[in-house]
Amino acid sequence: MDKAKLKAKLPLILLLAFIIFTIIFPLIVKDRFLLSILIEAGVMCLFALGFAAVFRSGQFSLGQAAFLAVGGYAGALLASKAGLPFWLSLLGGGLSSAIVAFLLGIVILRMGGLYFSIATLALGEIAIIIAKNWDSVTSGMTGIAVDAPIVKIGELTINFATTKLPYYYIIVLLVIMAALMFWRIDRSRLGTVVRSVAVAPVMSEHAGIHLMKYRVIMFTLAAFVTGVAGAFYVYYLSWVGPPLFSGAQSTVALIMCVIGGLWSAVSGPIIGAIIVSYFGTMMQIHLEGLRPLVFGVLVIVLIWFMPNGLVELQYRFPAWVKSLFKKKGKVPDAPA
Amino acid sequence: MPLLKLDHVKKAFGSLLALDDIELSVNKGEVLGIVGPNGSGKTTLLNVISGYYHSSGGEVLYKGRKISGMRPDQIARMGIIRTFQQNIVYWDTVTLENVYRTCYLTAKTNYWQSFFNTPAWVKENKELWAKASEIVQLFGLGDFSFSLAQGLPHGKQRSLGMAMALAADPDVLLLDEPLAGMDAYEMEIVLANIKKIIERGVTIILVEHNIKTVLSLCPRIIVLNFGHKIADGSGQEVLKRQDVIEAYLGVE
Repeated sequence: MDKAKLKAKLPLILLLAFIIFTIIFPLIVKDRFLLSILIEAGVMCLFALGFAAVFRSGQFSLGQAAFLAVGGYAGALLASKAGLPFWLSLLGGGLSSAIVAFLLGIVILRMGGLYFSIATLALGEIAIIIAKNWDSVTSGMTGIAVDAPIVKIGELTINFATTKLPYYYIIVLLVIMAALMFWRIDRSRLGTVVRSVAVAPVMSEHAGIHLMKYRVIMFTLAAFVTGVAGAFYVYYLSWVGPPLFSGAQSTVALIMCVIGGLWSAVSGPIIGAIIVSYFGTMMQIHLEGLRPLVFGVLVIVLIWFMPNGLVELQYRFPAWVKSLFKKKGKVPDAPA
Repeated sequence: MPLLKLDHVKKAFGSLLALDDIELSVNKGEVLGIVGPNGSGKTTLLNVISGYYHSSGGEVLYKGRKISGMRPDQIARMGIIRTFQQNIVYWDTVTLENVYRTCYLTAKTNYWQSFFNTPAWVKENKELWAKASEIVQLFGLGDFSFSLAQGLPHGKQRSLGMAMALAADPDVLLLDEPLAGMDAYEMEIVLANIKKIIERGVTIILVEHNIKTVLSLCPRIIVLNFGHKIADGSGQEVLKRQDVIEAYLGVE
């Protein structure tokens, strides 16, 4: 294979290597604590992907945690009250979140821009208030307990209560599916139209693009993915309650996307989510009360040096390596 | 039947009547110039036709169908495309893709085909890029194909705006001051571009301050003043009228 072809296929090879690595990793490193961090990071990946999807349609959602909550509660209710199996509860969580987003979206997306952000900010708070006070459904602060699922595949019976490993593989699968979906959308006609809507709404509208339609599509899709993440999270923790979905969670999604890179649809949010989850937890352990301060400073420094997020490293790193191997000499004279 | 017909169209902003009882019909293939002093309602008229504003009274008919009250995107899909007075481009991408994005309007494959990258989509996508490239060449932007649209000089951005409008295969093209802020050289290029569009048989409504340009391009001219249509006819006819001279050209 010639060099150019190999270079074109490099991202694919790297991606496959990454996927294989994630599959083998927990089998080699048997660290239960690290595993739990990675599972939470997976949930956050879906969460951040949802935020990025809304952002790409030109809207800034500050209430994504509300959809995590809707998915979480719907999943918990479907599992504990209706007794649905694991997979269907996940799907149910996603769908109910998508339905809520669709109905709210056709109203609040009309406002657009800053007003949409304010509306979603309120949405996040409203979700918590409902969760706290609607005792008959959400059981208030006590929350709802969810039994760990027992999945039977043929002869094999997997009891999720005894091992966390299945959760890891399921969330990896979910993240890969969501990433593939958003990646394809970004590369397809829909993605191009959505970008047009975000970049120049008036121009797009006069070119025959129905703005609301695409904003609602992206908002609903994002809510679906976030809802699935919420339902999964609830299963993983075996419990759902208001503290899980505080308004701060929505800001975390934003920070993850900023750190990873807001201008990439898939890699940015995923990289950001993994890094923020890992270092966030590590800082929680080692720094305790100082964590928000240190975290804030690090975020500012990162934005300062890499305003386009960590994905910028893919261009910067090769350039840096090249500069190491270049002979140091006189700067060539500028051509006359 | 006229292609586009404005029937007693009114547009009020509060107590200000920006358009008052405008009657106008445009036939297929016609090139109509609209002139008038600043604030006479020229751009408002385009905004009402393109659906950016809803008219406060009267009707806009296109091919015998009422289009006033429709959304801008619906009107655009019916074949009425406009350009803007300001330079609006997709700043996140290059010139060629700017044009390519408006070509989308005419794409026949749907989003699912594109999502799964089916052969039909791959084929059409190639055609769309080819079409975009052809239009970019037509407007003399070939050298700028792969430069960011945001970084183009003013004149080139205006050409790009027109290229994007043409990429949508319009039946009626509304040009809003295509020559604003241009030097003589750029003006010539844009004039040539407009002539190329006219050759394609597109019906054009041109709003422009440069009276020479309008006279050279448009067989028919209407004059607006304070929201009223004060004259309608060929260039020579219109310019002889005393009220037009008073309103627009000024009196000694």
